[in-house]
Amino acid sequence: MDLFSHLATGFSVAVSPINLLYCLFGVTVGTLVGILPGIGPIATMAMLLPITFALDPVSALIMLAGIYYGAQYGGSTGAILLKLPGESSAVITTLDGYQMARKGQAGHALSIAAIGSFFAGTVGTLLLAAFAPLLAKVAVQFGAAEYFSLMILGLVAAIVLSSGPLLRALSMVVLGMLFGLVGADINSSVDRFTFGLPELSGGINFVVVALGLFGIAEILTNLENPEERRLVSDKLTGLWPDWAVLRQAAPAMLRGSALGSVLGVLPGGGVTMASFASYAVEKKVATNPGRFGHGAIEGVAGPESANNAAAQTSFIPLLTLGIPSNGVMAMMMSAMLIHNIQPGPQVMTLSPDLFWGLIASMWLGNLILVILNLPLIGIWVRLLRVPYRILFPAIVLFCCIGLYSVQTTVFDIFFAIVFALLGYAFAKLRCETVPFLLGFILGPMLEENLRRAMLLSHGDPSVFVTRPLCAFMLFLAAGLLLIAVIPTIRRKRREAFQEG
Amino acid sequence: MMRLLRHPEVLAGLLFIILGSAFLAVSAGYEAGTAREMGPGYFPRLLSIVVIVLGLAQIIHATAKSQGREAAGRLNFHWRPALLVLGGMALFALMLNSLGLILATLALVVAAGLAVPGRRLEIAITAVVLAAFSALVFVKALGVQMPLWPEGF
Repeated sequence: MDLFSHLATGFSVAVSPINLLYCLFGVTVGTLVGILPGIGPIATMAMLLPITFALDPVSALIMLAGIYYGAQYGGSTGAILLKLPGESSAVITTLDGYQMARKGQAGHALSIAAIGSFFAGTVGTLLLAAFAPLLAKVAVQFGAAEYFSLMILGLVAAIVLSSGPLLRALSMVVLGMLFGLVGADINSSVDRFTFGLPELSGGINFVVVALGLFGIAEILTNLENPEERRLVSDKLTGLWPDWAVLRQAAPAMLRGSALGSVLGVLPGGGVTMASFASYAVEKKVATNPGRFGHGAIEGVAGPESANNAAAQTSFIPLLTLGIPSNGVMAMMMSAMLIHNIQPGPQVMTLSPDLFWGLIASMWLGNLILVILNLPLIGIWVRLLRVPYRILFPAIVLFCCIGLYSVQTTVFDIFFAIVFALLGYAFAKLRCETVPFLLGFILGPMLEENLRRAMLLSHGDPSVFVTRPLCAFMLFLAAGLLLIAVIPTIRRKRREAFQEG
Repeated sequence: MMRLLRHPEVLAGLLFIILGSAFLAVSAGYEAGTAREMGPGYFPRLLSIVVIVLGLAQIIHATAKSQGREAAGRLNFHWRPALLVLGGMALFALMLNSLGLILATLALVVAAGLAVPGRRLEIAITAVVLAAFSALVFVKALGVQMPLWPEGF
């Protein structure tokens, strides 16, 4: 079967010493930022992106991907031990994980979270390997009009499925697109919105936007609240779970993996929604839902499996269609573009080493993570004791050095300050920044495809309804928007995000 | 009226209208072209108008349900930490090329460190450790091109 020969190619790339090293580095950094609150995978990837310029593209992507799924593992540690989720995807784990820790079962919770994550990561990776080629086959036949419609659908779905107020999220996407258009126009080479600054004619750097809106703005928000951290216990026992616990958690892991795999593929879905949805499902199917919130192992096993499965499958839309489904994938996309790889169906055929190498590395990375997270848990726990007041100046400094090294100019640092202020204001006004980021990266491509589609149709906009696939996707997008504004469903949507 | 101005959705709407208008004003200077052959101004104008309309919609939406679920008046910006952190970054950017990474790092870490109360000695130690770390890791090990010390050293 093709799948196995592909995976064999992938593993031969992934196990090369240099790639293994970058995979290890990526997942270690990922675990670290997952554990530490106040810095997320998007900001970390943006910070490290400049140092990947010199690397081989495969190694660069392997490392960046490792940060993402590594953070899913790390996120559970803080959630269980401190009721302090390092990542939004681990928020739901605090409910039962922390309760288990208070009852002296922190070891069980941590090990089940790690084992569930590994199992789900394996499932997610296999699904990615199996389904990506099929989707890519469909996508190669896409023309400009289809791509335009697909991007619209992806963006709309991302907004509808995100948690913030709808109108604001919609405005953020469009605003993000406008910022994405800054720089020389490809067709006419007219400099747009650059105010005569030569630094801007190549466009606003993605790293600047990501670090300003996510890295620095997050720090400003965190500094408003005085920190409180209480470690439940120093002694961790029961890190190797007995069969009874594992048997109890296994069905939840299975359900979580399945649910997470599906939700990960959806635009805007991703890890956070997967973990929340899985918790809701576990509560529904439980014979005794009253245990939830008081240390139910299923409440840890399900969501932790789901978020990791989703982390793997969210690569599917990016690698097959060239559409990033969430902020982290937008980051991955910009990394690919920097290395001159156009994300999309052609990646698989043009650079099979990269495609299959990345997939194989994800499974290896998951294996490394289990080892990193179980026996070495003591080291990570100690890290949780580093106070934020020492941590945040370091993060700001690393952001600045990262910003400078993108183009060896201090201009980008000033520009990031502007985006940080903007991001701080957005946070205050409850405007989500992930839609902005998606709009920012898709804006130029949207314009390009719209132009090409209109040129080919001789200025007739009806192509978008006469081509069946276009019509279908745009219809779906309109339907999603409509559903989101209907009051009853809107209430449901709000409830789903407030579960717990 | 003042109460309304503190409503997050109204403020967000205003922000979108202002930014959208700015983009619209600038893109008015670019050739729009036709639907068939779009000029550099076509798509930006379209998007700017969408942002402005969405901003207006939010203001109307917020005014319509004046007892909105989002409590007004919770918008307390914490200026001190924001100014210290962003000011520290600006200092870093200003100092880096002429005075070098070491001094720029010290300035940044001290400025940012003042954003949280107390522990002056701890900030100083953190600053020195981070300056040494970034010089060794970023410049020596990773080879990032930046001066370490002031010119002439």
